[in-house]
Amino acid sequence: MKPSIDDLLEQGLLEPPPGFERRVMARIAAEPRAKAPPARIRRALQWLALLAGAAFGGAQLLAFAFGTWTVAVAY
Amino acid sequence: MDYTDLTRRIRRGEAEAFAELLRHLQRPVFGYLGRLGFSAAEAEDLAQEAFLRAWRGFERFDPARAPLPAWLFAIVRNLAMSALAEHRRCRSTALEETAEMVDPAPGPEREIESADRREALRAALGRLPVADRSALALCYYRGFDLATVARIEGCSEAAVKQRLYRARKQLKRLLEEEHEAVDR
Repeated sequence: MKPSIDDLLEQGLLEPPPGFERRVMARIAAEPRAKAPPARIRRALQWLALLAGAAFGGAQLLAFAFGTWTVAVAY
Repeated sequence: MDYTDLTRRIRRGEAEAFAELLRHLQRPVFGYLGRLGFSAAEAEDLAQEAFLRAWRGFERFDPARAPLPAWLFAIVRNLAMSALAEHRRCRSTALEETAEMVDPAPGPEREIESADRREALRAALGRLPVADRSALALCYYRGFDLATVARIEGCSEAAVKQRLYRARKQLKRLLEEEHEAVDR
């Protein structure tokens, strides 16, 4: 019986070559992992940056509104 | 597989935990790369690079955003898309080199027939648009639902459905054409 297209696609057209795991793990052992901040801290920093940006944007908007109001009441 | 525990162990720097992840996902990764039309040698290079990047950047993995296999597949997909864009690949190179990697079928006749069908399928896959091919290739990994595929592909679920529909339709047509050409 011929295998269907779905069967062939599910089987995959490539298999991991022998020794693949060994080669990857050897490369991993050869180089130390770079330390990045943990996800929780990174997320907190992202929020902090977002809040700082929002505060700055808000301040700019207020300054613009105040300037417009000042000009409007002056004349 | 318990990815929570695995994630914790990899974060602690346990190489053995990463080896477990590698053993668990290497087959689906190669399956995906094969369905994209990469040769055995190219797939090995890409898979090695992807696992290495995953190890190096594991601290950036956020389980709240995506499950571990989806995160790894996103790395594989990005590398694969870059490689496809860079080389503007011709599917024939992949066909020649991957022939040796095909799983043998039980008997010689079935082996030839099965290899022929695989080759025809590979050729047809190579003629699909890259985005459609990638969505199709990801969908055949049983661990992924439509939402996960959409997240990896960076599009909506509706777009994935459309790509799948288009890819399957085109694949069927291409294989029928191929079949008719052989019969003639």
